[in-house]
Amino acid sequence: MLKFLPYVRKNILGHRVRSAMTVAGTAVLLFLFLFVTSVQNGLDRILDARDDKLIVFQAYRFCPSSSQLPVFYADTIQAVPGVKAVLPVKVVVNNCRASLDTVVFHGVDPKLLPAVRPNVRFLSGDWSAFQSRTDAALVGRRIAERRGLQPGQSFTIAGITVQVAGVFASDAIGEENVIYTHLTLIGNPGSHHDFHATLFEVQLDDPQHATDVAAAIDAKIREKYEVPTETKPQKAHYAGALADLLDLIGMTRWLGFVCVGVVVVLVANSVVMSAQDRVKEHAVLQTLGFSGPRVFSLMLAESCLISLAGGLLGTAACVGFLEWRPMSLSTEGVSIDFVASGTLVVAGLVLSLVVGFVAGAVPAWQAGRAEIVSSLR
Amino acid sequence: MRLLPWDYGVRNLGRRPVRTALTALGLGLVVFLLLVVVGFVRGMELSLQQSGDPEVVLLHNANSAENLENSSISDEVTALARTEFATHLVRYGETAAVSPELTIAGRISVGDRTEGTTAVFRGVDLDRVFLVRRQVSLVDGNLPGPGEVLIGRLVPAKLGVTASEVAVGQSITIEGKPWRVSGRFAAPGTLLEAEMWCRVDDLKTTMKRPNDVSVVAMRFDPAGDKAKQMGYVDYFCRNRRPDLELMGSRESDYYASLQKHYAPMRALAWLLVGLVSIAGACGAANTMYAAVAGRVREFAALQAVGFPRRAIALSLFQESVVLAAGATLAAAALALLLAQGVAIRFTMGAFSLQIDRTALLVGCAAGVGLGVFGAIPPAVRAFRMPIPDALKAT
Repeated sequence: MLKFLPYVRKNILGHRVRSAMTVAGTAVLLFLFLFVTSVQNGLDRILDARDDKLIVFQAYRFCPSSSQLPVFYADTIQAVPGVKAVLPVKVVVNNCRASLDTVVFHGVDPKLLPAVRPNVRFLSGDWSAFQSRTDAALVGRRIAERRGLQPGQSFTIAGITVQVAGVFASDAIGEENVIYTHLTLIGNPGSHHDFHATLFEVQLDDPQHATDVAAAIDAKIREKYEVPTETKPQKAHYAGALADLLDLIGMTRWLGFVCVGVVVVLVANSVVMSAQDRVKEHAVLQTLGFSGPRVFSLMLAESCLISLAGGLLGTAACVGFLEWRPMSLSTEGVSIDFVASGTLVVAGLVLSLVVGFVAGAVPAWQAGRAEIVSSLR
Repeated sequence: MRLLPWDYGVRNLGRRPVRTALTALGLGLVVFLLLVVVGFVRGMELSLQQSGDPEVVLLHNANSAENLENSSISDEVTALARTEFATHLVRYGETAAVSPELTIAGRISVGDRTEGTTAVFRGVDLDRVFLVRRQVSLVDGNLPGPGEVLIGRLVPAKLGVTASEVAVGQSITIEGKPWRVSGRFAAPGTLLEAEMWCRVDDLKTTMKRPNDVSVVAMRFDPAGDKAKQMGYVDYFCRNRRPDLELMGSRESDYYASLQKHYAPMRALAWLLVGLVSIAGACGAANTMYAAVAGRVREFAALQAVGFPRRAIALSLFQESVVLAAGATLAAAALALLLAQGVAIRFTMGAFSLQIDRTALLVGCAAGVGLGVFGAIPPAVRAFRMPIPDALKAT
């Protein structure tokens, strides 16, 4: 089959405008399909993440600003058997609603943070720079790129003014969208017992006992205090916060499938045109001894190559775009990154090949079964 | 100018039925995609536009101007507002249109489901709220009594449950306490339709917030000077009672300010519309190229018998536009049938896809535009060749 590749190539290049338009249309639509799939990928990454932490939130609340738990709850939580460490976090967002440009501040105790964030890699700055100033902020890579934030720069968002002490990268999901500040900067500047945290992040001795520990924490808080808590594994907490976006993501998924449908039609149309224009040529090939299956495979190869070329372009454009402009869809302080993973690239290329096959199969089959005599006439 | 007969171009479409059908299908899918995306954007925009009543002014906490769900003000503000703005408010008999409201964004579970869903519930004074919230009307059941809740029409979509699960008489759990559904209300096109309403005193007790509300909504006289009205409100908040940390906002301005948060999402949706259109244009142009390429001799012959180039080009446009228009109409019908009014759950509410006049105009213009654009390059190409050469072309 490979020896006929020059023939296939010649046929594709012989109708440059038609091929170029089909490739361009396919590239655009696969770009769109992969773009919306990257959101689904980001969501899957959150929902499939390893569950080794608990999140303690005020019961029945969901927006970060509506959960207000006294910081002294940390002592009670720490005393629950199975709890290794507790980090009170005050979450402030510039917008609680769904947005592509949400800024999420996590106010934390700067002394506790290094121990619970061993995965943080500094691209600039370090822990001491963060700890030395009360208005210092550590900015996640994605948000730094999105907002153009540099070390030393001062900025104000959501009424909070901070100075960038460092930029960090992290392999923990969603963490590169967070700006860490001092808890005192965004908490109430009163005495210790006046502080409120939005949530408590709980590290466990043994993640296998997460459910039991969560129940014990809620029971203990209910027993001692008036404001009840709802403790969940981090993954369940994220899933709850993102529930409102599932319809939207579901809709974009359907739009992606329609895009794939349009690609199939586009490529099929091109192959049909190609087959109809070359009825005589195929009859001559069969006269020269080419079998029906051979003609079928030549047409199919043409269809797959055109589709693959579009797939390559679309995939490269999608990956390039997401690298150039990292995007996140956020709601209630939780972010879904648009992830251009290796799987996405492979999926894009395989999908374009499948589309080429599906779109080309029928016209190629018809070309391979055509009657020689009537075709020659 | 001597034109080709109308049916000449139309009959040409039937000469290659597979190609025509595939092109129509491709164009139809493209227009359908455009209509759904534009319907999404329109639904979001309209729900925010219609939610804000321009006659209503909200008194809220000065620090919660962008998220009123987080606002907390003293409930004495209601009485203060009634006396302070007495001459400027709409009145029904002796009652001024002033409504204290406690808004909570919280987790709600339905039936036996243990996992709650997020929604907004609003505690209202039932004697006054309808004087201010003119968009709202009761469509089923009764106003809520103690321990009861009135739900908006989009609440099932918002909670991701069936309408029967939250029908009148059913029970839902808010803040761990069961509430009976007493009725259903409509507030067409607004975010209020995704909310649940109950008596403000009930909600205060449940939320352990006995002395505060989220906002005080006031309806000002529409005949009055709007700038002056806001001036009085601002003066009251800043100068007369600065201790209460109040701020006044027109409700329409508040919802307009929310629009800016969704601007990147809308921009992305429009980018999607643009890219899908480009792909559609590629498909349409491709088909017309093929239609022209096989008919070079035919066009030369038509010129030889006296038809001007413009007449042949017009026939080509006609062919392409008829195909695109047919596909567009089918796609519009499909979108109206399948997508119009579909409820989309969104943060802090829900809205319906709106395949309205604007969406249809954009979709149809794009569909017909694809037909026109698809015909231009092939038409130019068709007439590049001199007539004698074209007549000899194979």
